[in-house]
Amino acid sequence: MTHDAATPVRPPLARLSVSMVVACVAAAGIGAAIGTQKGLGVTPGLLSLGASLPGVIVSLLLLKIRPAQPAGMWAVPVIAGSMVRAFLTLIIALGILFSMDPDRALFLLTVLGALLVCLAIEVGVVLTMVNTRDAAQPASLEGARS
Amino acid sequence: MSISLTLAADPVGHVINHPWLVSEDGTWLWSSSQTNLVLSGIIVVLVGWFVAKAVSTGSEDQGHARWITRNPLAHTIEVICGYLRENTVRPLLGHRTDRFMPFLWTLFFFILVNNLLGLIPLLDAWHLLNEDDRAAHRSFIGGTATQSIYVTAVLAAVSAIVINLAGIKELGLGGYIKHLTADAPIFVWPIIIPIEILGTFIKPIALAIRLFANMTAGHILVAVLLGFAGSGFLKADLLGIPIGIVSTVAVVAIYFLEIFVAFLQAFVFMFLTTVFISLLEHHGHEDEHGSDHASHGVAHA
Repeated sequence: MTHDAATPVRPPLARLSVSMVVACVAAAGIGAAIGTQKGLGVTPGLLSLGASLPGVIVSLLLLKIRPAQPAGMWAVPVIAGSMVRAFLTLIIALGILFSMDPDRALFLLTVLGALLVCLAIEVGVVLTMVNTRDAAQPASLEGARS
Repeated sequence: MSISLTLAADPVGHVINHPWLVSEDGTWLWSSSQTNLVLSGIIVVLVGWFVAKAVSTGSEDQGHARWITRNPLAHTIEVICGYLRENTVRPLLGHRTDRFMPFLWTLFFFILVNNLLGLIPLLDAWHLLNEDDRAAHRSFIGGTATQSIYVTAVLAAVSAIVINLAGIKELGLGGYIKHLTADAPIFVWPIIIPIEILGTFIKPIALAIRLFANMTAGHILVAVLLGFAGSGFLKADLLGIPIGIVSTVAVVAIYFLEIFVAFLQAFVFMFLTTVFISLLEHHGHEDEHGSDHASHGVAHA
């Protein structure tokens, strides 16, 4: 289904939330599994959840409080949300790193992995939203495909 | 605890090429950049194949819907390809556009994928899983392939070959050689011809150094700022915490800037290759020739 490009819309927050939380939990699980395998325990992996989830929640809240607007105008809020998420996650991760001293490499890589996957999910979901709202114009496409 | 938040001893360690297989006489047989390059090639081919399938026009019984690309990724890449072809290359190459697009698209996406792969900490992940390689400073994958001057030099050499072969094909060998005189009076030839010959080599060298320098500088900056953040938070006093927070903000900002730079540098490399191809063509009159050489100067700037 396509909509007019000027129709105010909102990003699919439910899908974004579930995907990002699943990504963070999966990253933590992989981190915990690697930690167990390497004799470092599950702590570094599980602690990564403490760093990544608050950032995810805040970035989603930032999108939630924005009013509906045309799909093309969501670019800046989404990028700003991503930057806030990355900043918060890094700050909390550094706090955890220096206060609880988990294995540095495993902990930071798990956090960065979660951040990267969240970024990829966000890009994918927003691209889908823009594409769905970008009413395909058969006449113009016919010319472009020459 | 080490104050560095990066896993390497220095900021450059994350970016540079690491050996994987080394012969007895010290020759690198395989390195992390080579894996990145092969992986990029595979990604470009697979994604390109997928996008081509998704973008291809459907059967007539689908009506108007046969023109629509349903997949968001394919649609995005189609838009990028369309922009590059219609807004960037066609104004410069005109009727020769479609002949060069496969090469120029490949160049753009191959460099782009390599630049983006450099932003993923694959090297650290490999070292996390392989302690021996970490201790021996070896890695199978990781780093930024387009940060290696060898890689960018080869990319530029390929561009140089295409640029000059296209020029010879368009102008003929005689016309190509005559172009080195820039249509200047004979008494200026002793100056113009060496400059034009040098320009033939300087163009690809500039391409190689531009990509190499941009990718190196940004990645090292991220690593250095992470070092500042680590130092600041470890000190944890009135000066250290603000430095840590500011450095962390800067890391995030620079990292997002690096994502943009990854696209920008891939575009610049492809665009300048297009400009250099367009410079070696028939010119209608003197003014056009002059303006082309002016754009040549801009490209060098």
